[in-house]
Amino acid sequence: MTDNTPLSLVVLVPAHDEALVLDASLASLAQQDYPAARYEIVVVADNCTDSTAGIARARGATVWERTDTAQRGKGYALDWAIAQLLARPLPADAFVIMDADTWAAPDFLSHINTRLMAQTDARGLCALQGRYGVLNKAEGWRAALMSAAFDLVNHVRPLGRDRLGLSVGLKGNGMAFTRKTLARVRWHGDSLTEDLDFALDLARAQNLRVGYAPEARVWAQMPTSGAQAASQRRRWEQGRRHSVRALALPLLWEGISRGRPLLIDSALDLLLPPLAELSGLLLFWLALIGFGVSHHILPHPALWKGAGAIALMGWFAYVLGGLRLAGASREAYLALLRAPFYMAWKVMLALTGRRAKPSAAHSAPEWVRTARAPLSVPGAAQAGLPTEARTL
Amino acid sequence: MLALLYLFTTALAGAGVLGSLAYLLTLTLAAARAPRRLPAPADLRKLP
Repeated sequence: MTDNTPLSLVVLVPAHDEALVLDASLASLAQQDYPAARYEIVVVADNCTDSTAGIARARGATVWERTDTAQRGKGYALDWAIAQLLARPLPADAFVIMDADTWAAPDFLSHINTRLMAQTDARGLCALQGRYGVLNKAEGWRAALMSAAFDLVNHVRPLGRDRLGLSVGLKGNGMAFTRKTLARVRWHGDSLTEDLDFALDLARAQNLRVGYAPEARVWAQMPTSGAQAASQRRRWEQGRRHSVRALALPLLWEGISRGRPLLIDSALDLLLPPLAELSGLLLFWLALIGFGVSHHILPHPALWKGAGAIALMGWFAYVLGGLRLAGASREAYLALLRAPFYMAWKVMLALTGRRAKPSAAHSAPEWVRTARAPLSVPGAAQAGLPTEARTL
Repeated sequence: MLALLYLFTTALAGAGVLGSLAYLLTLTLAAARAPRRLPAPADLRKLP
């Protein structure tokens, strides 16, 4: 990759019954400011029963229909498609993975290309994560709160990790890999947490970190109703709990014993509670201090009160400083006022989720989608998409 | 005994909270020091 010829790219869009949202998503890919001859859109219509494949064909995408009732799910679909792409006589230089409910900024592929060219190592390996935000953040407080959380988790933390030379991890959407990267490390189809597993395999097997491309932006639609949000949250929490239980401590030990900062940081990231749980823990701890000090149970009360005050200031510094750094919208700040209700809702979900026996869909890889609404064009304008992207 | 258990619980919760916040603030400070100017993509339309 020594000349300035743009890389040949394949944008891989795994889709399962995405007729409502796919057209707008493909439209955003069709109007990229990237030479049309240098990228191809491949839609994997996986076990679809709606018009997903027809919509993709009408948009000029290459469509691969896959029917496999035993191995269903995004991971299997990607594993299958990547194997086919690598087996082509002239495979692309790099592959980009984007969800079917996502809008890409018009310069998304151009920025991915620039980063891949700059950051691919001597072995030809490079893995990137673009900035993944919320498209419909003006459509209710849940989406706005999700947007604030995405600003912190999908932007501020990756930006910090990237600056420190650590792996930013993979977020499942808006990712890019050189061909050699995917040829060397296989994508996991049979995992609940395939993104995490792949990032860990890159670190373990190739000592390769995932870099961050903050200027390469994609936005996805988030649920606005309680029922939709509960379904999505349960699914994410299931995956997270599974990862923490199965991976975190062995990974931490492996990182320490082999002296690998990438693995230690990945383990710490897994062990870190989500912000809502951390906030709940902070409140619980402050209540313990308050009760303990007032009833003379805790020795050195000034020390405890000081520690509590430092933690409270740290929380505000992280949340408000992080949102400011991310250039969060007014809606995101306002949605923070609803955060206590969201925390209570999440605690309830966690409690009911732990009591409930995991469904087959939650314990094995599967397409379990959040109910969709058509991708909203007004939402795109409010998400801060560049003008060209609003004209779809 | 109960007081000791209370002290232990409070210390454990505090370690979790302060450790998590220290880690998050480290990442946030590093993010704040990240270069502001982002690399502009080449004008690829001009290329053959």
